[in-house]
Parts: sequence; structure tokens; C-alpha cells
Amino acid sequence: MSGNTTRTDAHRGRRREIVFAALTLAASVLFALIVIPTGVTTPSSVKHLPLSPAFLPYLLTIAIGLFALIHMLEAIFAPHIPGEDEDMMSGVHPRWKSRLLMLCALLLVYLLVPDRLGMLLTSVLVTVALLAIGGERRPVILLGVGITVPLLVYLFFAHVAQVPLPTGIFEDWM
Amino acid sequence: MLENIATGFELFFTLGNLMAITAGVCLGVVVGAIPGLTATMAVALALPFTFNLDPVTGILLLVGVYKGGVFGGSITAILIRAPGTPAAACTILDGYPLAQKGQAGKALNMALYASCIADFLSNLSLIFFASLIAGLALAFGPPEYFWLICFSLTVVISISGSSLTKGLISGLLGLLTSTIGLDLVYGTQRFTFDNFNLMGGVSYIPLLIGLFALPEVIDFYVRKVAPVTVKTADKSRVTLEEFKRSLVSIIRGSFIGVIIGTIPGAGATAAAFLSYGEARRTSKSPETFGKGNIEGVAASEAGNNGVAGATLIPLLALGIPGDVVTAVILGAFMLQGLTPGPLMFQDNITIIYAIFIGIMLSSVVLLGSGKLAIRYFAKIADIPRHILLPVVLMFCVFGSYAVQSQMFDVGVMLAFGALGYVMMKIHMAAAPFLMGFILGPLFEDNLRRSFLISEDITIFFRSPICWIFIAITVLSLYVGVRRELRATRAKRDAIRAGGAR
Repeated sequence: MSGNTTRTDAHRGRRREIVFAALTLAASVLFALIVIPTGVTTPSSVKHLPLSPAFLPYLLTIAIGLFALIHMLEAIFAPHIPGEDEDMMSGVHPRWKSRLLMLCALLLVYLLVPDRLGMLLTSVLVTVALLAIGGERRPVILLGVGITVPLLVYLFFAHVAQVPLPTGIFEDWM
Repeated sequence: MLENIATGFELFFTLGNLMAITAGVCLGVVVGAIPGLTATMAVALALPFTFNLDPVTGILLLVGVYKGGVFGGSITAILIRAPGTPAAACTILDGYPLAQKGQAGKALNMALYASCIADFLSNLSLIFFASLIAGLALAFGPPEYFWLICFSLTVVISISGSSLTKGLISGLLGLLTSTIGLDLVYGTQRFTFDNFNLMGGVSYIPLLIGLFALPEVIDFYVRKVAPVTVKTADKSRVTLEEFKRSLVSIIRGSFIGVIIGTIPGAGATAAAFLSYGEARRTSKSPETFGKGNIEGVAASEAGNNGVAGATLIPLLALGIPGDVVTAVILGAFMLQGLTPGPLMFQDNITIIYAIFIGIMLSSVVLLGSGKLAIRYFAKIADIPRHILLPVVLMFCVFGSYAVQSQMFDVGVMLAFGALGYVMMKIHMAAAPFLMGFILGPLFEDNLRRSFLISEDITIFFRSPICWIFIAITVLSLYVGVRRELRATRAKRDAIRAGGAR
């Protein structure tokens, strides 16, 4: 039974490594054929190949492709090492999808909202929300940590480190 | 000379100087421990306070902040996997696993001891070998730099983790990311796609914070139970046996730091990784590195703190700032009406001696303030993770924003956080990525500058320094690859033996 499990793990791990190598290889080809030609402007006056702005990106992309190929061969032919290939989905939270979605939404709030609401208010909202998602239910902690810590951090960055943080709706007060 | 030293002592031993160096180190430790606020930023923040101080007091305040900042970065690197300064990124590799095992106190103490010893040795080098080492550093042109960077890049092999090919791909991706921005020679765009924010390249601090700290936050919310929680920063101490075992790595790392620190632009991060790589290469149990080996913490901290005193060598001996921090300190010298360089050793030798005495004392102050900082900062490890991680995320956002005061950097941090999380899930080491990203601009710049000097490829073999670095690069590659292949073969044999049974 355990022999079968090990074999299944090994099979899964091997497949995962092959997929990783194949994706990396495909990405390097895509990069060399599309991204570098469109993303790097090479002046016509370049006399010597290593002086070209595209030289290093091409060199690195080729090297990445080469190592991806080596990794793929390694994954195909070398015996798999089960201990190191813990399943990506093992031990996940039963509601991990919704938790991840909420986390992503809150990270977007951190990115998009501070200019309007101000960094302080955004931090308070996100911190309280994250505490709640993490399972904290005590109002004292939720509000105490959620308000006091962002306020102290804000004051430190704004007044000690002199970082001009977005003030948002508190513009007239701060 | 003795008279000058005596005058230097007289000039140094004032209450103001002692207070300045103590306050500087303490401020540096606190600021350095906050992710996003680097030692450079701490020195820049302290600069205005020096305007009305005596030259010696002002300079010592800044030097204290700098040294404190370099150590402070390791505290949060060990406790919450968020390096306070870029140079502390290497300390994560073994410091954080030790904290996860409930040995945060031991890791922090070893980081402090290694930092103090390295700092002391670096200061001694500054005092006794300044002119000699500065002369050697002047012999470095673009080809010599190029080979030095090539040698530094071989460290990627040592920090690749479980898969050498994945580690190399990670390092190459880091190098590729470093090419984003305006081309240094022609000024044309590379992967900026007309985005103004990318013209100067990807910001270093947001990338660092995103790559190391954010994946921990994401992982916490995705997992059922946090797989590993940082246990209480117990009373675990470094034993004499552990200290003795790490001493060679500390001394070797200190001298690596001194050499790297003397060469302008090379940086403390590269020194930390080089020192770590060497410690792992020469260790009898290299497989334990990256899993909580106390020697790994000692080596990386010795490497990055060894740089601290040495960066002052080109500044004081030649008047050339080796990095941004010493450039700020150079500004402070000039504000005080002093011009560092050979002439300063003639005209203001007593001030130089007073500064040297203060710098030596800073290592002792660092030990005291570091002990104090460990006692209080270590309590962070006691905070439940569901409360700690939202606060860590907040520091990540504030720290990233603080770099250039723009939300774009927060976006960069989040993007690299996502990348770091994916890398964590597919068992791809993030440290080689960081190493590639740091050394990428230096690698390309010196490669192209060499070709600008001469289109003939023989320029890369023009001096004995080039040949020395070529030899150690080849040797390092050979030894590193052979060791990794042996380790892989040993694992394979173990599996086969297990399967046969």
C-alpha cells in the first residue's frame, strides 16, 4: 500500500516537474520570439553585438530555455525523490479559495484605495478585515490592533521617516 | 604620531560623542529592523541632525546609524522572514528555519555575535590597511569587475536549494528582471513598454519585500493550519561549541566582507551570499544549510557586517564613496568643511584618529544595543500569526511605498509577492533570483564597458587580477557542480535502495 502511495507521489512529482520545465521552455521561446523583439529597442548604430541592449536578454533567455530542457530530461530520466515533492494542495484550508480571493481583494484595496481614502484609513480597514479572516473575533483585539497599530506605523513613517504618505479624506487634518 | 593619537583620544572622549554613537547605533538597529527602511534611509534621515554638531560627533552619529542598520536588518529576517535591509536577505536562509524550530533566540544571538566580530575586524582593516586595500581596489577596471561578478554569481549553485537546475533558472530570471529599464549605454527602452515608472528599472526594496515576506502572508491564509509557526523566542543561547564551530565562517566571512566592501559598488548583499556560499562549500554537512544551520546565520551576518567598516576605506583613503551610504557620509564630511582623501590624513589627522576610535567603540555599542534589541524584538515571535501577519503586510506596503513615494512600488511588491509564492510552491529557491537581480546591472555594465574600452575580447584577460578571478570562478563552478551532482546521486542511490527493500 505504502509502496503504491510512494509510486503515485513519485509519478505526480515527475509530472509536475515536466510541466514546470515545459512551461519554462515555452515561455523562453515566447520571450525570444515576441517579447524581446517588441520590448527592446535596439539602435541601428550598434557596432558590436555584446554592446546591443538586446544581447543580454537574448543570452539569458537562451540559457533559461537550455536549463529548462535539462530539467525536463532530468525529470524524465532521473528517479523521483518523493520526500521533496509535497503535494501543492496538501494541508490547505477547507475554504482556501474564498480566503485567497478575499486576500487578493484586500491586496487590491491596498493598491488602489490609498490615494482616495488615505493610507491610514486603508490600513485600518485592511488590517481589521485580515484579522477577522484569520479567525480573530475579540473586539478588543480587532479594534485595538486594527486601529492602534496602523496609526502608530502611519505616524512613524509620516513624521519620523518623513515619507509623504497619501492622506486621502484626511488631507485637511494631517 | 603618538601625539596625534593622544589628541585624537582627547577629541573623541566627550559625552556628546559617546551619546552620538550610542544613539546612532540604537536608531540604526530600530530603523534597520523595519522592512523597507534601509540603513541608507536611516543615515539620510539622521543627516540633518549633524548640521549643528561637531565634525567628529556628526560623523560618528552617521557611522553608528549605518552599523546599527546593517545588524538591525537581520532581526526581522530571522523572526518574520522579512529582511529589514537587502543585505539581511541571506540571513533568512537559515535564520528563519531556526526561528521556526523555536530557536529564534539562538539565531538572533549568533547574528549579533557574528555582526560584532565582523564589524570589529572590518574596523581593524579600515585602520591598518586602508591605503593598501584602497590601492588594490583602484586596480579594478571593468574587466576585473566583470570577473569578480562572475565569481559572485557562482554562489547561486550553493543557494539553489533542492534542485540545481531550478536554482540556476531562478538566478537567470533575476538577471533578466534586472535588465528592465532604460539601457545604460544607448538610453533606449528595455521591457518598459512606455511605462514611465519602469524607466529606472524595478525597485529593489519592493522586489525584496515581495519575494520574501509576502509569500508567508499568502501561505498563512491558504493553509488549513500554518504548517510552521515561529515558536516563542525561547531562552536558547549559542553554545560555546556552536560558537567555536562557526568562528572560522565568521572570520572568513568578515574578510570576504572587507574585500567586497573595499571595492566600490559591490555591496553587502553580495558579500553575505558569498560568505554563505563559502561556509556551505567548506562545511562537513552542507545538506543542513538552508534548514536551520547556525553556521549559515553566522556566515551571512559576518559577510554583510564585514562590509560596514570596509566601505569607509575608499571613502577615507581616496575620497571615493563605495556605496550610497558612504556617499551620504561623504556629504556630511563636506558639510563640515572636510574633504576625505589623502590630504585629510595630512591636514586633519587628529579628526581621523578620533573617528577611528569612535568606529572601534561602535562594535562594543552594537553588542550592547543589539542584546537589548533582541530582548524586545524577540517578543514579536510570541505574537500569534493571525495577528502578526496583517501587521507584517502593513509594513510591507508602507515600506514599499516609502522607497519612492509612489503606489507603483506597492504594485511591484505585490507582483513579486505572487511570484515568490509560486516559487515557494514549486520548490524554486528565491535567493538565486535576488542574487541575479542584484548582480545583473553590475554584470552587464562591466561587460559592456569592457567592450567599449576595447572590442578585442583579450581585454578580459588583461591583468593578473582577471586571471585570479577566472581561476577561482572555474574552481568554484567545478567544486559546486560536482558536489551537487554527488548529492543528487546519493539521493538516487538511497531511493533505489529503499525501492529494492
